[in-house]
Amino acid sequence: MRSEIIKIAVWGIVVLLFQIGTSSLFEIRGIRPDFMLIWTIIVTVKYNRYFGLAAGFFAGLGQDALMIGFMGVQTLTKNSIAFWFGVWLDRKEGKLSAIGWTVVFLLILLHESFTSIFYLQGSSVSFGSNFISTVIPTTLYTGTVGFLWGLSPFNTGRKSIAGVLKTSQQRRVK
Amino acid sequence: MLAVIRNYIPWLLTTCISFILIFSNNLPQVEVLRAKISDTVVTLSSPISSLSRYGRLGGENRKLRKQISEVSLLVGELQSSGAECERLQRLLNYREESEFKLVAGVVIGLSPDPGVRGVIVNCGIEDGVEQNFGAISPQGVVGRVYRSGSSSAAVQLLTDQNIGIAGRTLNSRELGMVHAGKNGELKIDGIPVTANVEKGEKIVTAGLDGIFPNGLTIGHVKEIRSLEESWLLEVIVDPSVKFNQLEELFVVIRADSAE
Repeated sequence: MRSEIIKIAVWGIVVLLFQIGTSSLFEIRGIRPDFMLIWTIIVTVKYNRYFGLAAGFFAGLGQDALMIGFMGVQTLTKNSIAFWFGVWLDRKEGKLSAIGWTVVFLLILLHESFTSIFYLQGSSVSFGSNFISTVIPTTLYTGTVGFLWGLSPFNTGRKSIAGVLKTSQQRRVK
Repeated sequence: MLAVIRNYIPWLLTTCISFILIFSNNLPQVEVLRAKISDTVVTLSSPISSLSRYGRLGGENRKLRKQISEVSLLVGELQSSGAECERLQRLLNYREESEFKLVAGVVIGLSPDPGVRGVIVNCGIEDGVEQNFGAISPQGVVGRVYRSGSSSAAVQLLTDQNIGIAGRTLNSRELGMVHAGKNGELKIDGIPVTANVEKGEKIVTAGLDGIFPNGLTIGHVKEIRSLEESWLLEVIVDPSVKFNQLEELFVVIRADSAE
């Protein structure tokens, strides 16, 4: 279990550095995907809602600390999205079907809208125009990158946390 | 029932922490936390960004050599003009005291939030960089320092939707507010329809905000649109800085804070 947590933490740091350092390479007309959100969803799908919650919380905290704007907004949206998506996914026995992907896209849209509302406080740009010019393209881009990951051979499906715990207990007995 | 509630306790806990953070944004402790995380990330990112810069050194060297030869030609002309200017200034008893100095910073990365246009640089409070200082590049105005840690700073770019600076058209001397509209397109607001603004005219800083000195290039007039039933023009600005190619920038340090 501890090794899994360390693995997730290391991946989280790598993704954060990747988001900061190289996301400009993926920029299309000023729109960049939110790799940290994809990572949070991956953790939720692969493990469970609690792992997703922790991943979302720390991913959001890292982004909040580095970004310009309110501290705590990304932390709130990312951990909530991961947790409630995990709850929904548990009812579907961890399978990410077509409906599941639709839910992922809607959650990304919700995340981008919520952060945008906070960020545009005091700005002359209206939420409506920002929704069309930034929120929707970012959602589609982030969702598509996440979907491509879902199709890729790196996606090994959901890991059973019960299995992880069991292995950890077995190790301890040994 | 208790078991069901227990399942949601972690989420309630993290949500409470998030709300505490949201409502304590102005606390100095939160700023310290942000600065510490920012400094750590800059330390971790520095080797990666250095590696990517090494790859571009060859091309940059060739470009700089060409510029050196051009500049050396100019230096000769300027030296003679400088001597003449000095003599005339002495005659007029002119005293020039620059209010600003520059601190160089390397761009370590982009803002992690895709919706925010900003960069993280490797200079901070230790170098005299503070919040609300201007950031420029040799091409022109880049943005302003939003937050600074001990060795890092977050710079909000001019193309972000939440920033505006006082600008002026160079020839027609019209004053307005330069800010980003939709899709990061730059505009200068407040130009009346009677103004004699021309396409291609240079837009410079007005020096009224105390952040930027007067006369720094912001961009050029790209398009002038007349709006129906409005006494103001919509003037689109083509920024002189290529924001997606930004590798280094300079932070403008005000004299009052440098002391």
